[in-house]
Amino acid sequence: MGSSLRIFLRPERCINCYACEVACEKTHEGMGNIKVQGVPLVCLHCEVPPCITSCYRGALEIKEGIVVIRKDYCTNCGICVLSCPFGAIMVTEVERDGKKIPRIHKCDGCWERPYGFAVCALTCPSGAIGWERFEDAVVSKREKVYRLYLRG
Amino acid sequence: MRRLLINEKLCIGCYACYNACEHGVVRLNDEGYLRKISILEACREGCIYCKDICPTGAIAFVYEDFKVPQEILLAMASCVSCGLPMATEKMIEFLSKRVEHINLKVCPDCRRRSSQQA
Amino acid sequence: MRDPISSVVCPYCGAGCRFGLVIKDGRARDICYDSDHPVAQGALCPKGNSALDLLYHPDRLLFPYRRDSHGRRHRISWDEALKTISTKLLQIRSDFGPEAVGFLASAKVSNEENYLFQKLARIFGSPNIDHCARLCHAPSIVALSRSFGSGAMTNPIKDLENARCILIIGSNFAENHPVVSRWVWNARDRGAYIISVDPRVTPTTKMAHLHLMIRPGTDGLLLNAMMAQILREGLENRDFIRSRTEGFQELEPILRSVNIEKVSKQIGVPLGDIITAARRYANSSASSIIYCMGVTQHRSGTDFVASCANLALLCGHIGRSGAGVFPLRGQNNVQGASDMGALSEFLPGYVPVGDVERRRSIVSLWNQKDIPVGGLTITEMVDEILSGKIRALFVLGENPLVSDPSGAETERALSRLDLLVLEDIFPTETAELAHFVLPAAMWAEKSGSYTNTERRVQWSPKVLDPQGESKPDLWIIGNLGRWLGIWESIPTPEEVLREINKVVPLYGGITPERLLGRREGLIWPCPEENHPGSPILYVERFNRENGLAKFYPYDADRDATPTEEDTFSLITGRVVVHYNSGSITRRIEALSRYEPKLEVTIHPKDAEKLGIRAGDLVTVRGEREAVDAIAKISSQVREGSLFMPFHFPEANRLTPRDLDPLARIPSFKDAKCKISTKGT
Repeated sequence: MGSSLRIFLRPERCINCYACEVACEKTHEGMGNIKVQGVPLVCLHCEVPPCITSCYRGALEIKEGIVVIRKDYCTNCGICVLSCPFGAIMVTEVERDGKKIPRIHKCDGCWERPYGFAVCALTCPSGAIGWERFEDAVVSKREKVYRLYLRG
Repeated sequence: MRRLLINEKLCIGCYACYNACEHGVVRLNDEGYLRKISILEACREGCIYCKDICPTGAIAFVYEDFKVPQEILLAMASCVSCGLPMATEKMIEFLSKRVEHINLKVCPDCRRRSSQQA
Repeated sequence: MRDPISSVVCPYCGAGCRFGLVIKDGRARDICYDSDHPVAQGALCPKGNSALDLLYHPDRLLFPYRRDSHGRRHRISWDEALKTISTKLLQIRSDFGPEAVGFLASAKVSNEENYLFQKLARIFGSPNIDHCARLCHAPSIVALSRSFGSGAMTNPIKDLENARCILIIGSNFAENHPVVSRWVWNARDRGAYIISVDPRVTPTTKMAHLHLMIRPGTDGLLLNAMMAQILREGLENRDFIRSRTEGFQELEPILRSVNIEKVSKQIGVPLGDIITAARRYANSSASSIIYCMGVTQHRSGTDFVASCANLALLCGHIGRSGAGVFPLRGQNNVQGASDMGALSEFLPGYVPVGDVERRRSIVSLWNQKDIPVGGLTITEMVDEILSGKIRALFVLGENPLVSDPSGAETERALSRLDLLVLEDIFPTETAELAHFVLPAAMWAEKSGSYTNTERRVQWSPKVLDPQGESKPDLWIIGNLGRWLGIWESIPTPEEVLREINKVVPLYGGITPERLLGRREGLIWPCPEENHPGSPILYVERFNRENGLAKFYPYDADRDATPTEEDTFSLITGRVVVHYNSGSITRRIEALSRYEPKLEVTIHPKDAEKLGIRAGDLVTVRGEREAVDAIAKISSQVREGSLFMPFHFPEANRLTPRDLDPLARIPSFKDAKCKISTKGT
């Protein structure tokens, strides 16, 4: 995965089929990082992520354009959850010794998965979620505007 | 005997020590718009996980007989959109010093919903 | 080292996606997305994503069992099961004749298994072989074979992106075949105009530029009105009509007499929208029609399909890239099961059973002189069970109790049978009535070829061992044939496919050797070994004898049935996370949590009138029965109509048994109902 890859959403394409949710949960041991309510919502891997500034432990880092949580540093304190402007950092409660413990998780671009690619983008039937190089995104946007202009 | 003491002025009421404590010494309960953190028993020897990870350095250990349990009550801020409690007021204050331009009055669930509707 | 990945065909809908199973220590561990696949490009819907939960579900049937008269289950051995079943079948044949046995094939098992099953039924002497295509696309097979010569999709799904205008009528593919939406979106991004005709607001109508929210059951009227408008403006393709079709002179006067203004009131759509739709469809350089069960599941389903074909022929939008008629099929092998002749009126390769010469030439390959004809369809079999003509039923992986109309009657019929044998993967509702239940292996546990909705034949290899004592369907059918004395040995899937190559000309060149080598499969017609397959049909000639297509006019006046006050028309359909009778998906928690209970959707105005609030338990009263459901209030339906997914046992207790006269499909999409809060 090159450093300039960016996740992109085409929310108008979403057909609310939950394929990404099911796939994400399957890949991340039941802790899904994407939520669909008419449109998919997943971490957009901001260039200056507020979650990284908010974390006092330095547990969030940018790895080749992907904002990931370093599990061994994270204290699950919940501060970054509040810092995300999109609400894309999720909390799931898990059981430990009879106690309910909150676990913080977010999209990791399926960093450690063998596909080398985010499953939500692979599985999305309608093409609402994708990854592309930043330069390509600019070009396709430009083409779209041009086509609209042609159509009048 | 070693016990854990939380500095009430510094504690912001996050989940860090509650998650880190493997012996269940730190207890955390949300009761409506109040978060209650309570220490009801003595600590095990040699364990310093919670002190290590506390965001504000509010945790200290003292050597004394465990007599009086400690209980900290923290007010929860409610989301201006859905009205449900989202986090303690102190957490939000702590966060507001670290990040800018984020609307901290709305809970993450509502932020997600509003960014999906937009 | 990486674990080996084996590519299999998805067991759910007819889109025919492939995915890889990552296998470690004899167990599938993960799913791998196949980005090169021509239909899906690696995409999978939620059902496909939960395929592993299906494989290792604790409810799976693992041993054959017999149910005694008290309903208790007794585990038996395979030999005992097959021996008793065959003895009983032979007994019934000698007592009541072979017509007293009915066979239901399945759209979810491979081509080879369907072929062998219909061969078994027909050599056994019973003409009563049918499968659930009767309940979804029988009108497509009948009407499209009649108009074009083949009852199948004309272009591949991928070709949709080349269309300049897409008319979606009675299809909610965004929920039923989610991967199709990727191609429609691509077309839209390339500037295509999308028209959707649907009585409901669905994720599919979201992608349309123009949504015609017609009254349920008026699709034929709308199509006629569109054609009339095209004629009125002279937008029809005269050259195409003259050179490639016949029968236009019969259609023309009917269309000329259509009063579009009146139709617009009848169907409840503004006149301007009908005219826009007609102009856009006729004027574009390549237009496609996608239709599905909203068109077929009606009393006049065959006529509606014929009207779709007429519209395509009128404008010459067929036989080119981007221009075609797309009936989307619902199950992974419903196209194949129809191709293999698991229908009462067709032999393998759509040879009508009435065609004596071709019939004889096929059965001579089976070493038979002749076979019986005039078999019954699924719904008719149920009637004949009640009248006592049919005494035994062999069901291959179907759940008629949930999927057939008028559930109460089906239940009464099935419990009257002398012998009901069910082969399935889960203990379904029908298994509660069966005398013998045989556990079948799942799709990844057996090899075979599957034909998807675009006629693509793909090989799905055996990658896992069957669990418990479950066996591949081919083994079960083959063994049963041995016990019945029909053949000596159990064939392998490859052997059966070679026989299909000989019997079915469409599959002539689709040999096991070729299929095994290519993941993307082959598209029939593929008559010879070196034929590359035919993605687009009717490029030069139609498959009818004279090479011309034929118009079959539909006189809409016949169907104008006024609705009574306070009677609702109930539309049944699918939701994205469930599949058909729900016997699979209702068990998978990852899916069923989205739609755990039966909900009935009602328009806010109707709800207000009847005092129904969201979440109330309501009673929906059909002609024969009443069922309870949870009310969901939404303007996704029209006033006066209700929507209910058919994945729950209750929904089909309300649907009527009215049949289309030609295709004999029940009218699932238009049941008359009353609704009230529970207890009033």
